Amino acid sequence: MLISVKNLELWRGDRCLLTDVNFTVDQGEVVVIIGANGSGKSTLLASLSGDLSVPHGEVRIGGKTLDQWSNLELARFRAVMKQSSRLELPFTVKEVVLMGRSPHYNSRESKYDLMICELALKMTDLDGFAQRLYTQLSGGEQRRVQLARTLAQVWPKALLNQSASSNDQSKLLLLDEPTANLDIEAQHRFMNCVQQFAKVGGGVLCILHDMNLAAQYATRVIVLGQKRVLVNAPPKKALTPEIIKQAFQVEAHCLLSNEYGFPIIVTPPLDNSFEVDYGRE
Amino acid sequence: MGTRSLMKRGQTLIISLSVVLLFCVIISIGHGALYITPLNVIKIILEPLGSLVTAVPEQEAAILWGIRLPRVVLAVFVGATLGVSGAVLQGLFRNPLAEPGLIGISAGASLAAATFMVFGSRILNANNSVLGQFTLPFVAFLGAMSCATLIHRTSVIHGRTSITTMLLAGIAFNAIGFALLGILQYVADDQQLRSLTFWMMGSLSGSTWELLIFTVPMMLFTIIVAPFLAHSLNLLQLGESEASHLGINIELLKRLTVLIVALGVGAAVSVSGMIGFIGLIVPHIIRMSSTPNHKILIPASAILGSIILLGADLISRTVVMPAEMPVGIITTLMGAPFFVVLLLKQRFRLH
Repeated sequence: MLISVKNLELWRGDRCLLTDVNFTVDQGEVVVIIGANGSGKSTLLASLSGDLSVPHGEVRIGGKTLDQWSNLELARFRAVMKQSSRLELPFTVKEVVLMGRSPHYNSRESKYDLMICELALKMTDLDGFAQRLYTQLSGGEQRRVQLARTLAQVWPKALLNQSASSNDQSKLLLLDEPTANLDIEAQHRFMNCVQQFAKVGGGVLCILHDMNLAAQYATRVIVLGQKRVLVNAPPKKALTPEIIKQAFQVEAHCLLSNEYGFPIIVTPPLDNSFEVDYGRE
Repeated sequence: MGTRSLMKRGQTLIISLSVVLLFCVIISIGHGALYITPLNVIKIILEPLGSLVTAVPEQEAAILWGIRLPRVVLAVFVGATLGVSGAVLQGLFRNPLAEPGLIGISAGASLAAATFMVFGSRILNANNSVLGQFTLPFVAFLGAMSCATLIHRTSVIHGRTSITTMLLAGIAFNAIGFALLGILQYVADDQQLRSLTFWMMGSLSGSTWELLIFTVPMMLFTIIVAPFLAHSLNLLQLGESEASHLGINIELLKRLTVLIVALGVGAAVSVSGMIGFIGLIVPHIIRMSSTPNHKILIPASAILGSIILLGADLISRTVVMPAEMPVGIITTLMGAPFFVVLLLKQRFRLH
């Protein structure tokens, strides 16, 4: 069990965001969280990554509560990618990706770390970017560098094509909207990486806004809404018009295509008379 | 291979800066009211090591050991401390405008020094008290440490240091400090005002071996510990929570950084007064000309800080000989325009 959450209750200030959250993430799973803005997705992820302390309920990562982990051990076990990260100094792309390996080496990176760094760059389609300066990249490219860094942090040995031993300790990825700002090719390329990561025994918990991306790549989808977990099931069962209506107040059609084996979600044009609700985030 | 070559370029930078520093030290020792040739400087310094040396004028040796060397040693350590402190603070605050003054060191030190100069003679009955010539530096050091502690304490919320609060608290306490300083300047007599003003402009003229014995270890501590923070400071540039997800103990890093800066700069300010701009511009020069990687930035800032302060001190004590100009004026006068040039250059490169 890579993540287990029991009776979790989340508050932001004096506002209750979520109650009675229970779920698990196992090895080999890509679990996608979807939900409307302000439904508590990022707060939930922050409480799993240790950014927020959890006063109510229990969170276990790799079988241990967050207090039981040392910073460094936890960093070797799971990587986190946040919605936005600001790096304003002209580090080279390679330096940034190698920062992801830092929990694994002492004073200097090993050949092994450099190899992983190269593979992570290849995987995010950043070949030839190693010596470019981070600050001179476009927003989407910077995002890909951060992805490469996050992947490098928990790179599974099994993906180093040489020693494909399966007794490698499985690892965990926590991702907050990793595909935001990415072009369509980069999105699918990245979700593909994530899938491979899970296939070799890792676990992934990932916030997405794109339901079609979720439908295509998730093994399970958790939909948040009405301050609770609305559903926690495989995409075909979770992404239904009723649940989408409950979570987003949007009418949606879910087309099940035999060709692909995952639902395709389409939202028809909204009613013209809808009210703009400025109260929402 | 990329980082290897980068580290290699960094090492080249550090080695060449060191050579320049050595050169500056010899030149600086040689110049003054009595000129000592570089060869004689080397001979005199190497004399205690072995007796390969032939006769050097006795007078030159006396001036070198008694006057020039303590001053040059002080310049080297103060410059290095200011450079290193600027580098680690800019890293910690993730803000290019951070400098040691921000955590209250200059405000605290000046306020304490001014209080001592204005009221101290009445309370302690002149400088012939127990501490003798150390009284003023000691008081200034205490002032620096208490103000830094106060600012740090203010910014600890639920056991965590908030960097934003520290920045704002720094501004607030600096304002209070300098306002109180204004009151003291208002009540001071002419003589007191003059020595206070001189102290606040910074000078290395007060250096003696006795003072160095107390202050150099503290500055050395800063210079030696800072490079060990380089790796963590690099990761911190990704963001606070990103760095902690990579296994860095952020709270320890923050406290350690504030501690070493307060100790080192507190010691530096206590003997040399306020020397502006070195802590701010030296890290920028290294970053713009080489790399923002703290593994290179920190040692390179130390050496460049020494070089610049040595140069500035040489100018300050030779341009208006036999009088002296406060070195703080020189560093600011040279530093600020140079900074503007760097900014313009960078602007043209980026756009």
